[in-house]
Formats: sequence, C-alpha cells, structure tokens
Amino acid sequence: MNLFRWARTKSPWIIHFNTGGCNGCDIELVAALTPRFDLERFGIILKGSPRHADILAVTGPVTLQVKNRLVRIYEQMPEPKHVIAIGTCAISGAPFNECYNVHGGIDTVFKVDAYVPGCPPRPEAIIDGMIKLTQEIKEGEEHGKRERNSKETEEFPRRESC
Amino acid sequence: MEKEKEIVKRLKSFLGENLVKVTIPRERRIFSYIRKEVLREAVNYLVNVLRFKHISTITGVDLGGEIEVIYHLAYEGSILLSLRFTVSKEKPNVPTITDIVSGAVLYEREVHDFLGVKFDGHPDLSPLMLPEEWPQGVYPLRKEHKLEELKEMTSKKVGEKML
Repeated sequence: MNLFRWARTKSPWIIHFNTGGCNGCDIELVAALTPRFDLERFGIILKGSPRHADILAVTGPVTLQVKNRLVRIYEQMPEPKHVIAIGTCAISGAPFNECYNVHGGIDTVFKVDAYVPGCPPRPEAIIDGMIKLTQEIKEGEEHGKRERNSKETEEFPRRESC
Repeated sequence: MEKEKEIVKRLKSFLGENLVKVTIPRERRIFSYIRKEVLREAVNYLVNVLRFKHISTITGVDLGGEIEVIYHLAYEGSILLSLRFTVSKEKPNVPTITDIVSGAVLYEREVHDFLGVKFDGHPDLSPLMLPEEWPQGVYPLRKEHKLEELKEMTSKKVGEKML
C-alpha cells in the first residue's frame, strides 16, 4: 500500500448532497457524524466544498431538476473519488421511482461504490457502509485510474446554465 | 365566530353578487367562491381593508373541465380565508396579484408550472419547480394524461437532453 492510498484510507473527507429526498437520511447522516456515533473518529470529516472531498454521500432520489447539479458536483471532485448512496431512495428511487419528475437512483447517473439501505438507515448502518468503503479504498483497485471515470466525465459535458 | 361573521358581512357588501357563495365551516375558517373578474378587487379589499396581510399560498385543482384556483389568505387574528374560483382549461387566464401582494410571485409561478394557469401581468413565468428542458405546454398536475404517458412525454426526453 503506497503512502497516498494509506492517507486516503485514514482521512476520507465527504461532501453530502441531497438530491431531492425527505431529509430523513440527512438527519441520520448528521447523527452519524456528530459525537454520539462519531464517524469522525475514523477521520471522516464533512466538508462544505466538493473540491476538498473524496467521497460524495448522496441521499434522495435523483430528480430531473437536480440531475445536472449532481453531475456538476461530481465533476468538481478531484480524482480519485468515490460515491456512497445513503437510503433506499438513493439506491433505486424507491417509492418515487416511476414519478414523472424522477430520474431514478444514483446509479442511473454514475457508478456507486457503496450502498446503505434503509429508510432512513440507522447511523450504525451508515458507519458500516463508510467503513466498507474505506476498506474498498484500501484494498480495491486504484479508482483514479479506472477507465469509467474519464469516460463518464466526457459523457457529462459542462453546461452554462447551472 | 363574531369576527368571522363580520368579515363575511363586509366581504358580501363589497363584492355583492360577484361573491357566489361563502361559508364558515368552523371557527377561524372561511371559504368564499367568487367570480374571476373581481379577483383583483377582492384581493385588494381583503389585504388592504380587511387586514388579510399574509398570503400563505396559491394552489390549483384540476376539476376535469376546468381548473379551480385557490388563494389562501391569513388574517392577523389567525383566521384563514380561501378565495376560490374556476377558470376554463381552454383559456386559463387569470389576472396577476403580484402588484398588490408581491409575495405571490413564486406561488403564481408554481401554479403556472403545474397546472398551466396563465397569470396575465406576471413579471416572469419561467419554470420554477420543473427543469429548464421541460417541454412547453405539458402540465404534470392536469389529469388529461396518465402517468405512463406523462413519463413517456417528459422524463425520457428531458433525461436525454440533459446529458
């Protein structure tokens, strides 16, 4: 394990983005981060900017309105980047899947590295998902060099309007 | 109930026969059905004379052949008054009230988005809730289309365009 990979495993910073959910998962994620469940003991810190983040934590189904914004945030993150889908909506769209204004789960937009099911998932489940994701960062293939990322960025051209 | 009755009495004497129907189903709640033509006068009177200073929201209902528009106004003594009238689907034009109550700008845009009610004189009726690429003339809360048709018409098209 090289130094960079070790550093990433020990301090994966996250950016949290709600793509149109009900706020339930957001509250659970905040509960997981704050001292009672204390996700920060693993070095996972919530950041305000995608440019500082390694992990994109998405809650809620992707609505048509928010899709471009989600892609834009994903694009702004430096490589290597990882995506974790928190909650049933983020995984598949759940009850909103067939709605006229909903595109679907996060994996209809780009590849997701970890799924945390639940409506909303317990903070313990979120911690479990995060730890499994850090394991993936530690032992999995080098994400930044994966072909899919460069390909996806080409497929999502920058737009002027958002 | 005294205050509600007083408000209804004054509204009746102001609007006359343009007030089609008015009921007080319970305390602090008034339903009033008016003619579309007197909307601006009615709102002006309610806001500036009867002190219904706050407009909670504007909603719309698809009744089949026509659309009912409902203005939810709140009195400072916590009385809620719903001002209701219907417009036809063929010509869903309603005068704006944004110059009387500037807070109505977003509510009117929302009703325009979802039900296609045209607010004449509104400064900007561009999509508020719907995505920019949404096809013109498709209003998701109207009951003309089944959900599958609506999805066929919009989300796929929008989804393709967006990426």
